Amino acid sequence: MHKLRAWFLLPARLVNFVCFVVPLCIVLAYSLLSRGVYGGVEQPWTFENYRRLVDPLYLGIFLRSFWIAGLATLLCLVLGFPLAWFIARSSVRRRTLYLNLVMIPFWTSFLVRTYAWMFLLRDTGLINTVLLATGIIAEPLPLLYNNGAVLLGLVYGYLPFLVLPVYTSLEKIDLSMMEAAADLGARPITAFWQVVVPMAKPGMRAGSILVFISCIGTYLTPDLLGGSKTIMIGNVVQNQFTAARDWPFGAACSLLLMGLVMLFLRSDEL
Amino acid sequence: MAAILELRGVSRHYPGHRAVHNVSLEVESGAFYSILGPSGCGKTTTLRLIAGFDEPTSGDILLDGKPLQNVPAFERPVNTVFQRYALFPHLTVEGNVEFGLRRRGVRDCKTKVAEALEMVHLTGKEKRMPSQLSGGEQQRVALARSLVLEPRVLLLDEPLSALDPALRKSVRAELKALQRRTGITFVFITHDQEEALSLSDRIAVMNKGEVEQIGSPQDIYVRPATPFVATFLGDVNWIDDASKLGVRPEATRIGRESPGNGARIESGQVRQSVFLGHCFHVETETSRGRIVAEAAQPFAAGENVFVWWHAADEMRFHA
Repeated sequence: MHKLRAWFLLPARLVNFVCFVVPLCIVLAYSLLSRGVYGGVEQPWTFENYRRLVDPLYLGIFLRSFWIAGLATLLCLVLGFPLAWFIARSSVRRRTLYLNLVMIPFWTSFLVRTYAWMFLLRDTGLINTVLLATGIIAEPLPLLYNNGAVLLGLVYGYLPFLVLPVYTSLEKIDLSMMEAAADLGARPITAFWQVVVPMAKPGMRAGSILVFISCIGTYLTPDLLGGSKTIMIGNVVQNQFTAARDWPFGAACSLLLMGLVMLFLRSDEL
Repeated sequence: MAAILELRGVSRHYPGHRAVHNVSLEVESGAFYSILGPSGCGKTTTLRLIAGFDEPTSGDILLDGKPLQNVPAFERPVNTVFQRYALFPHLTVEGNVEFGLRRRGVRDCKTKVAEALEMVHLTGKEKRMPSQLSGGEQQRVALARSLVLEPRVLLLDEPLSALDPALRKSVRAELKALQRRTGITFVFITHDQEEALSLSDRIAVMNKGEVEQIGSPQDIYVRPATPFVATFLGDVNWIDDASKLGVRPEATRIGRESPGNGARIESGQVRQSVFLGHCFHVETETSRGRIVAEAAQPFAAGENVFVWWHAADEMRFHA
């Protein structure tokens, strides 16, 4: 029986090893090597890449990445929870419709959707054009290339990742739970905080982690919607592997990010 | 004694469906009051109207003489034991029992919780999660959670139906003892006539959203007001075709000789004898149709017999 199980697990283990463990080891090795002149890596082995990360410039970017990702997660939670609750309380037929609507954006590439936001937000974009034409504003609003635009892009892009797990949690809450709470003297608002939120916690946790991890590593959104001051750690990594041709430093960056995220999530568990 | 709970012409109509229609009843303080009926008869809707989870379309519900209209569920001094218990899965046994006390801002929760748990024999399981408890234990938590609030009326929605049959009888006895000890008025919803008969001081029998009869268990069993009540509470031998005259099998005797006294006697032929454990039900074919009699011994199929009963045991209905 045990042998059989081992065989069944083998494909998954193999994929996991080849696609996850091996690349991670390569990244670790790269981060400890020196920069090649035309990209790539060279001997000798060194800790220099990690020492460079202590620079306030990079620490600042790390800090901002956590801050933006955290804020995006919080906004997703605030916006996504009521939506998930609404869907979970709808009739079964409506639920399928609403869930499909939530997932429709996934039918198009994230890149295309992010470009769409650029067309909406830029100075000659739809929003500014309409506002200028109606005389509500005299000058175009600076909607693009700032933290707000990045935040908007992230919340827009990752909201479904939060709605779906939270919905799954909320859907399991029987109406009789709410009645029991009322029966025992809880006002609706108390029932919400004392019963609904605790019971939805697993979904809120899973959703938040999904959104947070996706946001903290992102480079596309800040690259397209952010300005020069909105660089996130993903952009630094991307830059090291392309323009800067400093693979070891890029590798060190991504490993530090991974370590910090793991620490962050672990501390959340405690 | 005064009525603690009164329903006056209460109806709950849905579009195209009268879930509850013109229900009037009075529950005396300290009573064990059952609402009995088949599924879909409106008994659970009635309970939900009393609890405040639903509003009547017409009629009044009075608690201690005061109308409950516009009093939200969370302010009504009644508590409910739900059919599936509806324990909060994220709270411990203690947390569940405390829930209502905390909402009232009671400071000395611990003693009350301990007392309530002792009452339902769950001392020592305070820190368990509901998922770690058996069905019977979960139900006792649900009871403790409601009883700890000392409600004016405790509503129980088929609390025994989710338990396995072996457990049901012992829990039934416990429930009755608990009700006596606490003196709290119980309104007990059930579709099980045996449960209702054995537990209740008074029973309201419901059918198709309406109350068919209200009375003591003996009353409704021996003197059912309608053919429905008669058949719902037990077996009936219909002596005529129009369901106007019936007699219960246990009031029907059987023998090979005619008793020759003042009883109503029919002659017939045995169809079969069914062993029920404590007795046999002997089915006979008579000129009045099929009549079942209770007997200590079986009779052979085809035997010629007499069945008889006393006029006092006859149940008469007016169409």
